[in-house]
Amino acid sequence: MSTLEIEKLRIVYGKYVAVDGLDLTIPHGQLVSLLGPSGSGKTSVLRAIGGYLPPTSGTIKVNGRDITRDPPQVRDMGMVFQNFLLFPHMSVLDNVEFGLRMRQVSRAERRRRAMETLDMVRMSAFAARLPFQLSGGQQQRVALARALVIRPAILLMDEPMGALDAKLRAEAQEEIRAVQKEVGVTAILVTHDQQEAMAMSDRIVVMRDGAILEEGEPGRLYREPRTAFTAEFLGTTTLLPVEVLGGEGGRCRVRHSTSKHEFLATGDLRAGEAASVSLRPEEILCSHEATADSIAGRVTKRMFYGVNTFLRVETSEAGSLLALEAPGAVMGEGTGVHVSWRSEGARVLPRDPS
Amino acid sequence: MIGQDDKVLRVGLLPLGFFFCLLFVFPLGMFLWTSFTVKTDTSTVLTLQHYVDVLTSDSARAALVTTLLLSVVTGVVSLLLGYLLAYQVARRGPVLSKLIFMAAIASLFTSTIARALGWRVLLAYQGPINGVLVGLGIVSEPLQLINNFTAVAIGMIHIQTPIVMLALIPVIEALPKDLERAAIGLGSSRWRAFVSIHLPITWRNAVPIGLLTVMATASYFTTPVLLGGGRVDVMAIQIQQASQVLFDFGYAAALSVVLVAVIGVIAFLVFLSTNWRRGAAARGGS
Repeated sequence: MSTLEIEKLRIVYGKYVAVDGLDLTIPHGQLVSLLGPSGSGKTSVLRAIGGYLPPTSGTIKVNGRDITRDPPQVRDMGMVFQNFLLFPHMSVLDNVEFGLRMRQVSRAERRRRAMETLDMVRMSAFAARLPFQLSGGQQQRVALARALVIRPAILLMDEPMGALDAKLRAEAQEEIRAVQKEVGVTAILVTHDQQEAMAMSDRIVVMRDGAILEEGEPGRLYREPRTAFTAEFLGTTTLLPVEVLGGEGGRCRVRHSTSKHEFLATGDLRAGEAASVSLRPEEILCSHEATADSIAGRVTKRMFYGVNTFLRVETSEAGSLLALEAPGAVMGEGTGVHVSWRSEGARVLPRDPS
Repeated sequence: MIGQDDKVLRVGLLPLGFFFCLLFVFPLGMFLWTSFTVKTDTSTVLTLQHYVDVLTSDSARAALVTTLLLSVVTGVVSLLLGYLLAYQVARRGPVLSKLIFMAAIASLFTSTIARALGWRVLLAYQGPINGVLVGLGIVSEPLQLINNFTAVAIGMIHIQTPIVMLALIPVIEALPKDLERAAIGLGSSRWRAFVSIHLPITWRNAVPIGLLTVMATASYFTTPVLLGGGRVDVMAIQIQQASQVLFDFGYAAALSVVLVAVIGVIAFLVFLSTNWRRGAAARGGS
């Protein structure tokens, strides 16, 4: 039962401000992802929570107790590192028992708890192996067991899938999430992989330049981002530069900055503001027949991804768009199409200053 | 193109090979040959007499024991000191690590003779170390610090430690810092993490470096002469005496061969034991 509260966390390296006044509360049992590009400060936050990096100012509390100045040994954090960092000279069992041995747990109890945790990650059959005899995925499961066996207050994961290949990654995401829920441990995942963050988290914290840009439940962030950065970082989208002409009741009339094409979009922005409209591929409808508000375009690229197919459509009114091919329809490269979208699918967002 | 470069390289190696044989392999062979032969006025006779002489000579046997003891003590102590220094250089802040590094390099620039003479001054009967010891009342009269085994060992350790340190820095740097962080995060103290994680992983790479120190020390001549004051009789001194005072090259050669053989056996045993450990580790033992 652990709640994490971070208040006004600031981390400065020399002149470089890695984290700038970050506030974050994580309720018990949730898995929260810190998502952001490299240099966004997400790893610094994780290291500060783990006690490996002393913050310049701010407080970190677990269940209301201030641990900001505690050394890592007494923090009860379970950490899964990017390269797993199993102790290469110790067997899987010894690796998992290590934290318990440091806590002076009796031999029999140590063995029992280590095997129980290894069971949970389906690695008990490999207890006697050495780390180098395991595959990447197996090493990661052992690293997870080693972090969980001490019943940590909080499970910290630093790019835990970073060293796995794409196929293993999806499996590992499912596995880690299942184990985290089973144990009921509060967890923080640092990642730059938006898919991983969306698939695993209760909540995503989007970070940029050492600060939180936006946070929320993955579905909400994907469907209703509040910034163009989030819209672009989570999933794929086309951002159209527009000017807001006016609006009411959550809808705006906007005009494309270059083509002057006008359309309706969802969002509350004041007239005259420079903005971006985010159009998700699945919100763009490509058809052979023209409708009242459709615009004409031409398919220049067709990318087959198995589950679905993406189309790159060039239009004169909205520039280059990334759309999803409708199931059953085949629109080869060079095909002329009519593109339309509902105003609910076009989200108008403040223009990103950078 | 590559093939041609290859050929050029191979032809280029020829003079190197020639000089290697002429200046190294041939004299070595001659030397070995000398140790097994006795020259009379008329002919050269094959014999093991030189080896019998070495092995039955009390002074040669004593010198061998002294040499081995000196080499092992130097090897072990400089490995320990060098390891601690290398750890500081690899893991501490840039200022301290640069200072240690520069101090080590500086001592390598000084000749071994100058360093031995420096120790003669420091360790002298009325030298500064004795002065401090007497001055503080730790001892009532000056200690005999010079012209003994300890003095030679100190001199040798001084020579070998920086070399060991330099060789160990990459060994320690190769270990990810996060590996110790992982141990500390699991509740281990810094010291515990060093002993149970750092040392066991790096010692296999450290042992061969210690072994090199043992080998290098076994053939040292200047330091035992300058700091031993004739009381520390090592194999190098015996060999020098036999060849340059007695002009008994056969005996000198036999001494050298015995020294090389004994060191070789030690090296072999150490490697065997580390390899055996590695094999056991690979099989999943602990």
